[in-house]
Amino acid sequence: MNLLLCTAINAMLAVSPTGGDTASVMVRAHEWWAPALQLSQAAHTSPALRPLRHQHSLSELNLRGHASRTTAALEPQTGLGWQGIAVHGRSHRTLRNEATAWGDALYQSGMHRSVRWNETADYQRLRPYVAADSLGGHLHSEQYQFEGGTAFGLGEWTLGGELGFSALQEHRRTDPRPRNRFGTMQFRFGLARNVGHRYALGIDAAAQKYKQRGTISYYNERGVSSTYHLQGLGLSYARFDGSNTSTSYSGHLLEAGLGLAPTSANGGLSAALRTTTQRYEKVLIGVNDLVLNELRTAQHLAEVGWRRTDGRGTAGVSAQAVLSTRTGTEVLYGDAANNEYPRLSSAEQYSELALQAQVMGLFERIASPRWRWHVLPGACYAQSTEKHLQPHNELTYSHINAQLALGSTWRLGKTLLLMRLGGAYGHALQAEQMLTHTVNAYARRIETERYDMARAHRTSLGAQARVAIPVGATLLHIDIEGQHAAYSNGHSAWDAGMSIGLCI
Amino acid sequence: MKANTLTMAAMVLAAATLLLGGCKKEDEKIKYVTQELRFDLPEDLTDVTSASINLLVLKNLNTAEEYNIMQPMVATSQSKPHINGALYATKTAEPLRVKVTVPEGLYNITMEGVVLQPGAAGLRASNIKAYAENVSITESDVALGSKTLTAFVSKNINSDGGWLIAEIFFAGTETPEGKQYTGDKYFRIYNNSNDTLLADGLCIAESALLSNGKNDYTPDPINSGNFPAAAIYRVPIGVNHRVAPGESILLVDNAIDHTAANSNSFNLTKADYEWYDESSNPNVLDVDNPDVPNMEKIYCYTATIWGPTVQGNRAYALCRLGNDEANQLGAEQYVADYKQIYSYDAYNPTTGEFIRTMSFDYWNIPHSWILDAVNCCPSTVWEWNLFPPQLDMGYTYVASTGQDKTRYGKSVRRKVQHGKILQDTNNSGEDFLTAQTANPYYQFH
Repeated sequence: MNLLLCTAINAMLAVSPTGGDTASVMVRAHEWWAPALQLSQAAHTSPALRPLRHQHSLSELNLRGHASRTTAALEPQTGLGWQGIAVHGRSHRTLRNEATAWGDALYQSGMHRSVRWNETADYQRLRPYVAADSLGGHLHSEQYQFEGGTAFGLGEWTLGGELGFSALQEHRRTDPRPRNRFGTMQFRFGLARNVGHRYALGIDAAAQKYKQRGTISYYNERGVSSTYHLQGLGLSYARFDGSNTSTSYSGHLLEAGLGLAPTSANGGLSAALRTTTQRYEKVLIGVNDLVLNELRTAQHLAEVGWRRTDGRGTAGVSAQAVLSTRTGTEVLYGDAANNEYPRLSSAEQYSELALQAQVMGLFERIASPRWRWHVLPGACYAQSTEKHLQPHNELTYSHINAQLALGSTWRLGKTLLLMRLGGAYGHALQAEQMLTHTVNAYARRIETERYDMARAHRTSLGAQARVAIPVGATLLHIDIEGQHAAYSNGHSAWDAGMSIGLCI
Repeated sequence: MKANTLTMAAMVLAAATLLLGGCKKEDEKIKYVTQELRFDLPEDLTDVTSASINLLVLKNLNTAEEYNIMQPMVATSQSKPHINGALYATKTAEPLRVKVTVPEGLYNITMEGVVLQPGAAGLRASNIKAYAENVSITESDVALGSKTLTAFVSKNINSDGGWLIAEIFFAGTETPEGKQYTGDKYFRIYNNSNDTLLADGLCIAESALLSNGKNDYTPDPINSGNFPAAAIYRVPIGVNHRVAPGESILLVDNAIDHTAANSNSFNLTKADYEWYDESSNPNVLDVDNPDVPNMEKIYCYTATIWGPTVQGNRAYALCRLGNDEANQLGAEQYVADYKQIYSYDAYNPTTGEFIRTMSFDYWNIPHSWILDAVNCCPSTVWEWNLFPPQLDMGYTYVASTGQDKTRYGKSVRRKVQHGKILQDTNNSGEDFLTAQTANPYYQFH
């Protein structure tokens, strides 16, 4: 697999940087690292609009080490931190004849620390229908991800396509020993048309196939823990809890979007409307492959942005709203005689409704040929209501966040130095919890921790620094970043990373 | 352009709102059904003056939630009042009828009530119970009419009984080297009466069926009046073994000092009886202590040596071969007369296609011969009880799964009610302490 990764990265780097992009690697990298790219990201999702995202070609290979810790979590099922390394290669090349090609390859290896009440991989996708036990522990994971696409112009039209594949395997080296493997395969197709001289309007559609298989084993059977099949908010499918340790998940994702992006480097209006639906089934292997749960999610996104870039700098603003729903169905089975489980009925017990709205601004000033600075203010509102109907458990919360980042870039001789400082404050507006029943005391503790974190205010400070030095035709850069967060309930978290990269 | 974009965004948000608005209401997401439950009074109760229900619990097997009809959940803005039983007491021997409104699902139903009958000193009260497991309650079930359960007169918790199974040690032990050791299994049989009782002819029988593997057998192995057994051993008749109130006898696999081979085991040379098998396999031979009398082997499914199943997923009966203590059946006659073929149709679980009929020879023990009954099953894999609720309406265990090594060295032991009397309500889930450190010489009082 590592050989495959190297081959993919080499292939990306080998794409010819022709097509009239004669700018130096420093200029090209500077454009890629510009804060303006953080605005209106959804508008360029369509592969047909992707060529408009970057003015310059660039290939980059990055080696990154990253670690994080937190003393408590809103989602304890994802762990109390991560430590690992990643090799990431990406390339975006403007080719001859109005064609663009891009690729992305990632290998990541590391460990999720103290994962609790979850033994299934990809929790955020499949929640709440994961297998769990009350022991948990660190989980080692290895991930591979490849993506490649191309777009080419046909007069006023642009066609684009993208193919992606990812795989992950996750395991623990002590009991209980989950071994989870999942894979995704996705295809995205996009079509765009120039609208006037300044804009392009594009549509796209994507489909993704998903499969995961997981089993929990015990090398030393002493202290075997029951496996619970969670139904959300501290509840489980009591009938099948116990020794059913093998599960599988399968499903698909469908996505469609509409994007408007400016064709000029000077910017303009941008907008995106996107909708995504997902559907998954959880199957209990070993009990006649019973479908235990059905999960459906929908996400609707709307984004509007504006940006203007000229010789003095860049100013921009973007607003985004995301409405997400998640509904889960428990399939009910009758008396199991002769190892047959007649399907009695089903109950749509679980639901989650979440709204997130954010506004972000950018003001970047080119003070001199060697120095520029920027300000990134932002605000975000998030609310979530998660519910299980019978027994009736519920968690509702809402947050409002304000953030401000200040950054500056200097050119010192041939060296580029970038520094950014940021701070954020998140205020918990509301948090309510109802727990009428939980499967056991451990589940109640987990839910109580979630509630405590949902109602906590959060203050964070972060810093980032980058040094980039031209080495021949390439640009070597070293990045270091760190962040610390403190919660009003006494908990804290930190996050630190360091990377070294090479751009060409 | 700006106006068009904003219009488009508004349209999508409106569509999303409509989509969400089109979602089901909470009441429609879970189907509630109103099911009538009918409790027939015990046939042997005559001249009933009145009957009433004191407790009615429906346990949803999917969610483990219990609906207690005698303590209706108070409706709030957040909850639906899911119990609205029209409960009443009858003034005659008519069946009791209750309507319950619960979510569709699979339930275990427990009812406890009281029947009043005329007696010499006024009205006499008898406690009744009814129990049914794996009862589906759905719209289609409601359309079929009432669910009928037959009540039985329940045993008083303080009533002194006769013989009881006081302790079962089926899990075996583990050697200090971590190896499984199985020759030290035992049963404690206890005199729970106020009289000296004769132990001659007492039989220990292990179920042929598994409590964690339910099949749709013909004949019905639970409700046709017989307990299908696969291993039966008997205290010899004619030994005149008398046991005082509060005393017990110890029945063991191998009556040897196991601590010589396994320091985690026991010295069982003081056992009263051991069961011994003539093995057909010279590599698997039983051990016989000539100083401890052997039990009489009535029947056993294995051609080698028998021991209670280490997974703890079978049921055990203490019985005699006949209702008359003084005139019991001989082994040959019993084996000849009480063989029963049990069968079920096996289907491909994926395609539903019929595969073949599975048939097995088991040996029936009429329920009327059973003195005590104990269902055992690892706690997380239970599928059914192997006795009708009159004999045992619960089950006990030493581990959550059949493979759990923590079960080694642990037994199930009956609770002490008071003094020399052990608890016996015919509910092993209530009467036994689970996962106790095994001790063949445990002092109950």
